Amino acid sequence: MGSDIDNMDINTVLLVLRLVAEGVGVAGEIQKLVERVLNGETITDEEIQHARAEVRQAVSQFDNAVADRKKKGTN
Amino acid sequence: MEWLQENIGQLATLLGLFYAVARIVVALTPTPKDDKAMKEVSVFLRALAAAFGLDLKQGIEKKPPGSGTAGKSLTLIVCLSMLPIMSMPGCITSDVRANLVASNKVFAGTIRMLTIAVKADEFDDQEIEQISVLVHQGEKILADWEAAVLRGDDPVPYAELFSNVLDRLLLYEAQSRE
Repeated sequence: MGSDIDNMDINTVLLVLRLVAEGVGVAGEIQKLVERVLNGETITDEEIQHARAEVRQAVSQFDNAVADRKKKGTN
Repeated sequence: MEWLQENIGQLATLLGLFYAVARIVVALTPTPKDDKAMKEVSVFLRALAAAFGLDLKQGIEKKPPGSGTAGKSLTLIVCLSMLPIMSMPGCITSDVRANLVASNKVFAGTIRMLTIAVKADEFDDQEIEQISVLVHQGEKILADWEAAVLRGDDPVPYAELFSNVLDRLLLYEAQSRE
């Protein structure tokens, strides 16, 4: 991976994620986030933890789906 | 600046559609190897490409099945499409916390889509194993990233690692839609 990422404005990552979000169904939430940032609002620790809880839940559901698939494969 | 704030939703939608079209175009386009063409790509565009977890000069070392050499071409097309926006001065304010939250949300959304694809038998056993490794890697990176942000440390290394993982997962997700 190139070293350019070290000098990249982190806002760029945020905007790029918006593009990606269009494809995974979270565009509305990301848009609200961007608007809040533009309005100078602060993202709280609780919001960060809530977002990670969403990831944990999604990962758990993924793992369950994989486990179910394996069970079906062995039946 | 006001125009961008008022139209950012439509802009993102258009760029998102462009991104989807770019994937189709890339599937039919060979990877550009011309060094001269690479020199013309600005440092900024290379940095933007890195957000997709792609190094324009070295490409992707390990690609999910079906991705071929699409990565480089896709990055160039998407980066070029975003250049007019990103060249506007002061268009977006900086917020590492918002970036972290957005990354979590996109990652969760991607995993939800992949879960649907797994239930629909879109992947074989080997692919599911690879995807599972990436899912758990991504979760770990996000946890480390969060810890860094809460400590006030530089989060860029974690953003870079996360971009790599997310890019690979998104290729699987896109593959499942084909």
